Amino acid sequence: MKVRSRFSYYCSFAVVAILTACQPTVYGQWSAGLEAGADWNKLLTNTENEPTWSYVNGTSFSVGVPVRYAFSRHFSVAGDPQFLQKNYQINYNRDRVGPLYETVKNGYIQLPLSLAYSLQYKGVMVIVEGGGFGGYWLHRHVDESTLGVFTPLYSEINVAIDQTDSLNSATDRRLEGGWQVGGQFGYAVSDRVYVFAAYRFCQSLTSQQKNYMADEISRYNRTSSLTFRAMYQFSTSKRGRK
Amino acid sequence: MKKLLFVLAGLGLLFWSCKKNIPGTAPWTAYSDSSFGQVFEGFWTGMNTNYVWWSIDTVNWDAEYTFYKPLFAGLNVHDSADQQTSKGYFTAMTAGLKDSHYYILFSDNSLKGVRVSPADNRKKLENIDSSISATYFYNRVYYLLDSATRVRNFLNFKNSTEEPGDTLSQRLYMVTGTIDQSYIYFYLNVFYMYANRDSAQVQSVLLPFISLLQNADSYKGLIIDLRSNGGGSLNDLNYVWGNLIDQAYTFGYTRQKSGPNRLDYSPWTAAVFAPSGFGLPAFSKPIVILTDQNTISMAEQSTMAIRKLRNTYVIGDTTWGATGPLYQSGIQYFNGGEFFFSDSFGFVYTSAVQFKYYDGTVYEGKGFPPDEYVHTNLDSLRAGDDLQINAAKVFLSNQ
Repeated sequence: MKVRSRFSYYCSFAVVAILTACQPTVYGQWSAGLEAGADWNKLLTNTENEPTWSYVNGTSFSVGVPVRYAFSRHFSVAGDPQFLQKNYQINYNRDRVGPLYETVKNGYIQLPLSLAYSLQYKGVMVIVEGGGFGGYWLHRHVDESTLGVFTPLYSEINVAIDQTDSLNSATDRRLEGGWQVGGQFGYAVSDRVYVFAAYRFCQSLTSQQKNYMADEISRYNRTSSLTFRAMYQFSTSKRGRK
Repeated sequence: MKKLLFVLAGLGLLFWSCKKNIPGTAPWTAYSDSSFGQVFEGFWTGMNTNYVWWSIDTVNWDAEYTFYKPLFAGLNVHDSADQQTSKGYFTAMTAGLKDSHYYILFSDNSLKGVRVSPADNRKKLENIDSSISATYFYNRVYYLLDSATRVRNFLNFKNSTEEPGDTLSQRLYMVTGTIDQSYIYFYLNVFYMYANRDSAQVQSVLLPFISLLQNADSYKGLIIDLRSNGGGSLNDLNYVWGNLIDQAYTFGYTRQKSGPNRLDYSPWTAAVFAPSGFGLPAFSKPIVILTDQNTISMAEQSTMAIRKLRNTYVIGDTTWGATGPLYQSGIQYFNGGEFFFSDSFGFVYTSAVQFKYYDGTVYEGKGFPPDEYVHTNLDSLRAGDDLQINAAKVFLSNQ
């Protein structure tokens, strides 16, 4: 029941978006550029059965190539193929030993697609946008401080491990999809060049883990990013043309 | 416009199709012993989280859940006949598990003290050789050694890492010396020398052994007797066998659980065999390790670690197959391993981490094979004819 009502909501949203897009005014304006910035990732999972574990948000970076196509005065579609990391850390809070942790760095390529609404006043542009994204998990890198089982000092020590761990086809779901919303604040440096500060919030709807066992505990990425981007407009708007 | 429609429809489909709720799995420690349904859930979910061998195990744990859940639900936890029936279910559920340390020890009602060990049951079916008593080595092999060099001692000690079901005290037997003035010999029945390193008994055997190693040039080689050795503390790997090497090396890898799901693992960590610190030069003569089907756990780790040394040979039989290190109960440093389930209805004794040999082979449940098979023959031993020691002497004399 819940899923069906959500589906109806999304359908309504899509219809409104399509009708808006079908306004007779056609702008046909392309712009493209580069972006880079920082991101923060939170792993959403259930840790209630592990009271000594805590997940800590990971920070990293993202780079991308934003492309925008304005099809009306206020509306545009945008996509920015990007590379980013969705990192997190597990801290094991146990007695008797020093800090034990596992820092996991996950590299993704991702394509967010957005429907954007923009307002422009003189050289300032504000954009709000939302849509979905699809991604592919490229690699995982684990840096771990753990307890040495075979230790030369006959005692508990931490062993730093820094190795790229191969992804497991039985357990790791490499395709990721979800929804995303964001906003941009831009300024026209010249007639054709804008610079933006952009914020985006991405929520994965697919677990990082394949559903390989009953009672499985899923893991979802929730990623926020703050990027700076420069965009170049390939053609000026053709106001009034129908 | 068609493209735009396609994109928007795709996004809508994505929203609808990919949503999956985060399951609110109850902690396995929350299950009680109020009913067999609860007992079963506590055990099954605890195994999901704490059992470390799922990556190699062929038991279909989900299918076990589907099959056994209604069977357990039909039992009355207060009925002694049903309690015995549940033991049969636990035995059948766990029969195929690879972990050869594994056992369930019950602590409630009529099952109190009952132990279910898949490896024990499997070995009985395989009709493996009987263990050789430690007193055979202490009282018989000792007299095979040269009287000028032989030393033996024993020590009663309390294991500081007592597990439920362990006897409160154990006895460590140690024998060393030379055979035919040509071969250095060393035996111990369990590995607790480091744990008792301050005792005069341990030092009374270890120091003469080190002294023999220091005079290695006078001998043809070393016989390490690990037959029917039940294992013990990993600390002895370096403390005892570290006297054979002068630099550390990796002989395998361990990994632990890194999450509650069955296949959540940390990266592999090097298992390092390191010098003892006594400052001996590396032992340069050939080494023979004697094993049998009751060479277990730390004795298997020792065999694998030393086997990687140049000019080392294993004679005897395939070992037990319990290679996963353990850690003491209640301290889950490794996110897996031993656990109590369902209000301490039962206790599961199991490896805390996975181990694989340096070449990538996992010997859990299979055992480490010898280079030369010489099966245990108790009748020969009783008659004073130790076939494995004889084979070791032949091998070393031919080097």
